[in-house]
Amino acid sequence: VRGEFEVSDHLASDGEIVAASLREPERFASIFERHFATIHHYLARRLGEDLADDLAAQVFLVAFERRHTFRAGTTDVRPWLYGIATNLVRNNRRAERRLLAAMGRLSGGRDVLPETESAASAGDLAELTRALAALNQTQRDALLLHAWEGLSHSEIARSLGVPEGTVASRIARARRHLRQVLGGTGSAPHQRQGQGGKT
Amino acid sequence: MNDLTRLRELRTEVPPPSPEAWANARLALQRAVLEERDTRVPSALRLRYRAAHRPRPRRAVPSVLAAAVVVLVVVLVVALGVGAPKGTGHQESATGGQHGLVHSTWKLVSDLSSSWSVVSDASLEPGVHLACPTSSTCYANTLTDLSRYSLSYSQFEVTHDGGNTWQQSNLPVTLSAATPLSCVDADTCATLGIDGSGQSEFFETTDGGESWVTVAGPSQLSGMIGQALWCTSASACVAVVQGPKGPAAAYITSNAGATWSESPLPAAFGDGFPVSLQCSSSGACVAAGVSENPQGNVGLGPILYSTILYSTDGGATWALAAAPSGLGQPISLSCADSSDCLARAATAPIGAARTWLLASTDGGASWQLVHATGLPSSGLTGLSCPDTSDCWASGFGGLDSHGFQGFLASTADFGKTWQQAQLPQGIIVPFDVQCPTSTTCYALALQRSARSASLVLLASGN
Repeated sequence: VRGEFEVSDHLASDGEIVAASLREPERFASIFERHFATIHHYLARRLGEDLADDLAAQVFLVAFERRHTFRAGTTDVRPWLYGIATNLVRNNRRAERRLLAAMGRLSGGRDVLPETESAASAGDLAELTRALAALNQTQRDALLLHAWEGLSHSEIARSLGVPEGTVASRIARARRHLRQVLGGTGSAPHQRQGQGGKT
Repeated sequence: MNDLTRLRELRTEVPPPSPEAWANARLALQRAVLEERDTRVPSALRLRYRAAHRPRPRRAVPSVLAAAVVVLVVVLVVALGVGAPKGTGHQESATGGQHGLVHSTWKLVSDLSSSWSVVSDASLEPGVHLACPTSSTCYANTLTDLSRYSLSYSQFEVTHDGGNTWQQSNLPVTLSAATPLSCVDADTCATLGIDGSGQSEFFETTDGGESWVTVAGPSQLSGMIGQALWCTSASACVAVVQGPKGPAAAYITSNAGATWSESPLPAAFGDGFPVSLQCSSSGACVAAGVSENPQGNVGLGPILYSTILYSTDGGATWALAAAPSGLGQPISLSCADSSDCLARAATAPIGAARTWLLASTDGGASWQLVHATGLPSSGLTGLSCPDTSDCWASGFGGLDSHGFQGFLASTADFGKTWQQAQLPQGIIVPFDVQCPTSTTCYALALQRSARSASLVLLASGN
């Protein structure tokens, strides 16, 4: 259909740009410009900045090569990109364990961890880091996409290619484990949605 | 404070990606985009040679009356000072006439649709080549599909009157792979190819395509991939080719293919895939090829890079040219004389308005980047420099809702500034451009009408 893709990229949705890039590959550059920093942040948090540089670039190469598989009608491309990035994280799980171990050792955490309210909370965070490292990979992926990246359960489901119920149960199990490790210092669990809030 | 809140505290604040990270990632993606475009866009249209070819009258050229009207309009526009706005890309016209090749328009000379039909297909590249040794003689050849995955190069179309009439010229055998035709003069052209049994053969015509003499090519070429041939006389030719097992090498003949001597290429060329070769009668040769990144997958996927070689003794010995690192694929290379050459080279970030070329003034020994202002940033299909100031480039600048955006652009300062010419209506992909003299250029292109597309020959000038 002629004119189907005649829409300015700055006004177009991610889905429209991906669709347009099937005919005009260079249009995919807009997806890169919009989301590279976000994906780089995600990978840097999970694997460190050095790996993030290479892997974030790889995310967009993979996405470009597989863009024909992007589900038509979907407007937001981020969950799909997070899914690709998460797969790359899994391929580098050793690096993630090393990073988490380093963070756990730095109980003061000033160089790695954010400013905390007290030395006690810094100690808790070290415990939390170790607990995070002890989670199985699928639970950690779901939990961190939710807690760190603010993805809703449905977005995580799209990212990981699993049912939404599976996401909910993975997150619930992961949180239960963290609370056990923290010795009940956390408050009662509740199903807080991420920043996306689009369940 | 619940576990999620604590977990968010654990989220380290990382700095934004560095400019270097942005640039590297952009470049990697851009290469992927360009590689897909360079292979996909031409292959979106497939050419099929018509076996039942018959001589036919040429397509009607614009009538004298129409030409007069065009001239009148141009004169009026110039007189009124209403020029095309600068920077409008495809619609921007060259200023016309001041210097050698700079023409404002191209005219349609021949419709070759009775020889080649265009079939929509997304799987094969058309491989269209044009060789114009003189201002009136051109040889056109394309792949001829025998089946979906088998291609042949057995037919040529030849014109000796500037495209007004064409004759068919058939090689005695069908080739599964071959070099583009290298022509010395209007009557003498050669190609090196692989026949159906996998043997390399050298073909030469010395009567303008009426007949072809066949001799065995270098035996090492069986199943060759990547090839470039350049002949400086009817007897002297150089080929840079890659065999099926060994690295690429140069092969030289001084007796019209009766014997061939092999010359190794520098180790840095590695498994390079030869894509371009040009030699002069003084013995200067320049060859370009592409290789995969020797470091393999460095997190950004395998990246192709180019290597340029030069020779000062007719291909007997070769050295690696001094060129900027990180070059893209120099699929187009043109030398105006034994010293001055221009090549498509570096890739620029996606969306960048800049296009970079490489220029050499020492016979290919060293190359400098040239910012090619006004030249579209990708999709260059042909480059021809008949003298040390003038060049024409052919290519496609992308896709829009009306189809491919083909262009022909000229430079009068050897690549620094370019101006796009007006093309006849419906020209979507100029495949190749050849300028046998400083005032005559031809281009082989696809022209799309309402329901079909056809292969046409264009000539520069109003």
